Amino acid sequence: MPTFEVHVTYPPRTRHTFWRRNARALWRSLFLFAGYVCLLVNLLTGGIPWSLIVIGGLMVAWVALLYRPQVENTPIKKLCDTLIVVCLYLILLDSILGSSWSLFVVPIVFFGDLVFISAYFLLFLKRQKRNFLPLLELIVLGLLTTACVWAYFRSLNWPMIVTGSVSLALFITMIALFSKPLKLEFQKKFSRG
Amino acid sequence: MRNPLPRSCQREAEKLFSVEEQPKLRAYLIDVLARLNLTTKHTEQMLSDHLQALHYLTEHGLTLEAAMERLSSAQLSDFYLKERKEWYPLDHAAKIYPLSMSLKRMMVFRVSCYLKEPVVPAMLQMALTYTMKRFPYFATTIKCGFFWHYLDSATRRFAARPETKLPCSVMKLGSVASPSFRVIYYQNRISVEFFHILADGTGALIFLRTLLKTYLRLMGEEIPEFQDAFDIDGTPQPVEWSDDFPLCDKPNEVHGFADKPAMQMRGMLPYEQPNRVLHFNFSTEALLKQARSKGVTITALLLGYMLLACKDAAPSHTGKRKIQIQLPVNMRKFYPSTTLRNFSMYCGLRLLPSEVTTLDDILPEITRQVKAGTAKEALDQTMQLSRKLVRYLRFVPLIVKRPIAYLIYGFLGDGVFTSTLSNLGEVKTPPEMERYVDKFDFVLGPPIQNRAVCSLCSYHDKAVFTVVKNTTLTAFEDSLYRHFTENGLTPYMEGSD
Repeated sequence: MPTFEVHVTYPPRTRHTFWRRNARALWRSLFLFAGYVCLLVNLLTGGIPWSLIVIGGLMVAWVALLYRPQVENTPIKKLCDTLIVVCLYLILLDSILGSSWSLFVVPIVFFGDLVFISAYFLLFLKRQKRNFLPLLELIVLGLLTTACVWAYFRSLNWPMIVTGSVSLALFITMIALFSKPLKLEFQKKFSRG
Repeated sequence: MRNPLPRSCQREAEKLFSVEEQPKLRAYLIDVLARLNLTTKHTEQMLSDHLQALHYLTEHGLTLEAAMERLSSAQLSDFYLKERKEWYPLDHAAKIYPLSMSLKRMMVFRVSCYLKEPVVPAMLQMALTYTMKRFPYFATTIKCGFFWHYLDSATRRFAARPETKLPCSVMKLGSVASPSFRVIYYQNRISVEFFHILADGTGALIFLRTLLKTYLRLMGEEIPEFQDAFDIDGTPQPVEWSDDFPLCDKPNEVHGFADKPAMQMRGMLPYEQPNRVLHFNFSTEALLKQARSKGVTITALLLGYMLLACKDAAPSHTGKRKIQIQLPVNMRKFYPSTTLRNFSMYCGLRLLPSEVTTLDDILPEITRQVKAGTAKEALDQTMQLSRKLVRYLRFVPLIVKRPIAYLIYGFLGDGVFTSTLSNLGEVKTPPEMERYVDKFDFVLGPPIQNRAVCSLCSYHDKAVFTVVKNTTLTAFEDSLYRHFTENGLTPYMEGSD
């Protein structure tokens, strides 16, 4: 069979190690393995569902540190996703360990982070202007949660009142400052074309 | 009076130019700065680009005044000044690509031009800066909507970078204004790689020719306007980014993409993709002569060679699986479309390995199948199915569509084909450009399951048949080379190591 000589017209490759090329997959496998092992041991040994606490913690760590969406991997989206997952984790912890502290703690964490994210957004407004939807989703979530808690319990503790107030204030600020861009962003986000 | 120029820019100007030239330079850079409304980092980079380009021109015989005139800030227009509010839904074909992509898998292709002299990076960068204003649709970034992805305009500096990665490698799209294409250079080659959501080969070629024309003009050559490239001072037209799928006729019958799994060639799939890129350089005249002598087109001739090579690279037991080759067809030959976006459909060529005997035996069947598959009616039926799919799925949220599409694409993906042959055809430039341009080539992105995909384009007497390999096993290309040489075509081989 005739062989051919290839004249190389591409730059030499930088070959990464196996570990670097597959870092994400390896971490994901490690996290999954840890989750499965904990679940299995918990099921076999019984007792309180501590494995759910471990799995929840792993999910928080994954979202906060390792998860990287391919599209719109912006700091605001990361902060919003981390906040949601931390709040859900705190609710999970409370539901397993009991004593209902989450109704007090979670709103504090929520509004504290919401203020931080809003401050970040306003500080880097020029660059982040088109990334306000994750923040708006959080604000709407804050308002809805406050409304639901009020509807269910018929009273609000002070963290919940602050959460609702901060969310409402930010919502009004958003509408006042960004009504036109907001309308355009909604058109883009909900286009079915 | 406070100097509005960044310190880094001032230091660079002092380093590259004499003290006497500083006042003129300062005035020029302030003029440039007045046309920029970018982030601090991109503004500094743009100013540095201008300095580097001025330095290159002055080092190569031009006076500073002449260089500043050639790189006049008026050429920036207000493209980098005004915030653009345009956004573009993806076209029908492009909607699937972001659904099926991952950190290691993306539909990217490349078109390249080989010059007769090494590329001057500083001038290429300026050419890109000026060219972008004519292609606002490419100056975008992909975003997630609730139902579909879309393209949002991005006001930023677009960089021309030295080539360091494998061809058609995955692009990072996560940042606020990440572009969906890249311009890279290596020695005498300028390449533009596109994520397929932006454009198809036709659109990509128009961009490359416009970029090339601008580059050569900045290098001091007299290149006239010509039909297959845009005038960078012209006004972009909405037809250039229209989704022309709705233009097509709407037949009652549809047929689509689902098919039986095709035979896949031998060889393990490696981690690094593509594993290798090979260019078979032919004389276009020689290819044409052989095709005519056999009474077929060049596409049919190359399909014949591909089938022979696929058979040689086939596993020992293929069962009833056929060798199926995917053939993209440009719909612009049937409809009056001037869009840069995707406007092509696909047909398939199918033969059992046992039916692939000799080149002369299979060519009539190839011609028959290609004629039937590339007929307007058949392509309209596939297009109609594509439109229907988009219509049915438009109310399904992206969060539901994405993982399902990703899984389906992962399982089926290109499994219904053995390989692909994409023929971009003849690339034309005006005579004034010919003495600077050696050839063009066209590289498809690495496939998922297929072991090799092929593409072709020609420029005058240089036809480049490119094979992108996804396995270290060399059976396919060895067989191709053998069949070519046995039939009197001896290609000059180039590629990656």
